[in-house]
Amino acid sequence: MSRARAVTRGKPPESLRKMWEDMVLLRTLDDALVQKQRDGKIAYYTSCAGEEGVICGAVHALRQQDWVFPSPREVMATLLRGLPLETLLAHFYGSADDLQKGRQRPNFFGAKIARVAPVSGTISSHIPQAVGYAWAARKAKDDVVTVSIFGDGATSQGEFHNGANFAGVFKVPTILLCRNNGRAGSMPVAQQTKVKVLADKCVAYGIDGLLVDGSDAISVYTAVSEAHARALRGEGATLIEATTHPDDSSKDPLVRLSVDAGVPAKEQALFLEACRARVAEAVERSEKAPPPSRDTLVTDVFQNVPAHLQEALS
Amino acid sequence: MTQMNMVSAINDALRFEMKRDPRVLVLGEDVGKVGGVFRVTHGLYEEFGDERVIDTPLSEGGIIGCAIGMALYGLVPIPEIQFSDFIFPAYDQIVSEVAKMRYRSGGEYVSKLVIRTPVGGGIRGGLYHSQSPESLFIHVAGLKVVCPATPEDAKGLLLASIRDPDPVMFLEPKRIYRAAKGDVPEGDYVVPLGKARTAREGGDVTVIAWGAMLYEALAAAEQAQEKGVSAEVIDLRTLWPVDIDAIVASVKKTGRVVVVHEAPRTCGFGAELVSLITEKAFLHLEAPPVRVTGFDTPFPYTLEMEYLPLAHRILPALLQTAQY
Repeated sequence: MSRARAVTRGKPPESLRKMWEDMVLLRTLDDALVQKQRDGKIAYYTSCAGEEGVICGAVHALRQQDWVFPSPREVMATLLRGLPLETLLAHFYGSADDLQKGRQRPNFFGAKIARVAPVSGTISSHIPQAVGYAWAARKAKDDVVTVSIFGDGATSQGEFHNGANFAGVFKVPTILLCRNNGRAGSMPVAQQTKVKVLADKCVAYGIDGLLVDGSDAISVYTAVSEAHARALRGEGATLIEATTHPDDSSKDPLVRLSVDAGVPAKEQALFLEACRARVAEAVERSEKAPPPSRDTLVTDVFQNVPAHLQEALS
Repeated sequence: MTQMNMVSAINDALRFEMKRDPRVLVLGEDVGKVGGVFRVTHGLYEEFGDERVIDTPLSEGGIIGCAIGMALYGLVPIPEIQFSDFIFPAYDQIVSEVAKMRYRSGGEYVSKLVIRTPVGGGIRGGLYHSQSPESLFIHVAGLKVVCPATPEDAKGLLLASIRDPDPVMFLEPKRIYRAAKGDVPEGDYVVPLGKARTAREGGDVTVIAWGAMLYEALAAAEQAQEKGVSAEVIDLRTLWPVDIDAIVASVKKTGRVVVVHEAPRTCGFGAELVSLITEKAFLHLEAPPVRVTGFDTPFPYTLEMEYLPLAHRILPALLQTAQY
């Protein structure tokens, strides 16, 4: 296996217009939730602003039956894969309507209807799970590709290694998509690893490696599509590094995609306005939703509530 | 009924369920062609092939992590961790993922695994082939923890564990893998989880044990009988959720209780059992509950028989408690 190859943008997806609309919706929602966090209405918020190119590019390269295993910063993928906006917001407000019954803090989310796995707190633990899911699907002769998405810091964890290694050994139809924004917490990527190109780690696992501009949704779409086709051909896993620059407005993926999508300025403004209204209305409704009932403290630990938990609740 | 040891009984259960349920598969280090270092998966690779009996890379975190993904898909993986001492590289996957999947997803997702792993000392294994980590898993809400002491229970509890909707840690007492022999029912046989077994009836003192230490408790009970003390021995079988009703019923009868386990004493499962007993049967107690356990040290190699709570250590505790 050779080192990672740089991928340049190929043909845009047929769903280009929808991709742009998705990204506008994500940015609008992100802006609203950043504000709600500042206002103390939601406890935390992990913004994906400036990194939507990775989410949108990847989601549009997948088919309905494929699965996404995200980290907290990519949970908006649920919205792009069929989850109603109100259901996603119920999660951010931890209300009674939350699919997770208010158990996880904002961004730690997943939804079966969107074929998005639930986010964990420990970094990179979802990577081998995505590998296991795709491996199981292949065993069942089910045509499914999985994508795990993670930040650059996750490549320092053992579970990144475990996932990539198992994916390589068993030639699993999965994609490991690293969103490298150059920083994990306070730490620059140079202090995470001495490897210059994270995707070059593919060599260690005998899998393919691709390097792509993560600020360009079409490039990400191109790279993920290539990895996806490779998985379908039975050629195994691919590690993709998508570099992003969330602090550099000149590399804003929305600005770029707006140009690419060629939507007339007036139409853009109208759509943005409609998005804002839709988000504002949904947020307002979510804020009024009641919290989960008290009995959810002890349900779902096991399928049936055991006697000691029933006792503890009463 | 067939005479079996614990290894063959577990093997029989795995084979039975793999035939019955195509979703069931086993994976782990050396579980395939070799049939496992203890031969528990012997012959399964030949019978079911490499898609369902999977030799994995040497990585416990990878084994459990991938098994979780398989379970999310809808298979029923039974990963083997070669020794429970090696489980800690996978501890995060078990604690943060397996145990919490159902809860954190509001019941949308379940990580249904049965993690089989040999536990306990007495095989000259030293620090890293001898430990009993049950309380480390009981403390984590969301896991059921099972430890059979007889071949019959090993088969019946394993089949129950595989069919149970929740993830199960299936702890196999390796010291009695071959030493424990007995009749095992053929074909389908289930021992329900959460039900203790009275291994010996008695009226003066209750001894609670599980796994390999059951036989030490029974030996001590026989010796106590010669001194006129009648001990009732309870084999917990399922450690969590524990059959507290069976324990309380016995303690109400005897008024005295000794808990035996191999793991270190402090924060060991005995501590929880004694707490539960004092909460639920305080006014029936005639003597302070006593724990006979491993030491609060790492597990030693040369002096392992001094470390283990064998019959010669259980007997005086039992007599003193009976005579308190």
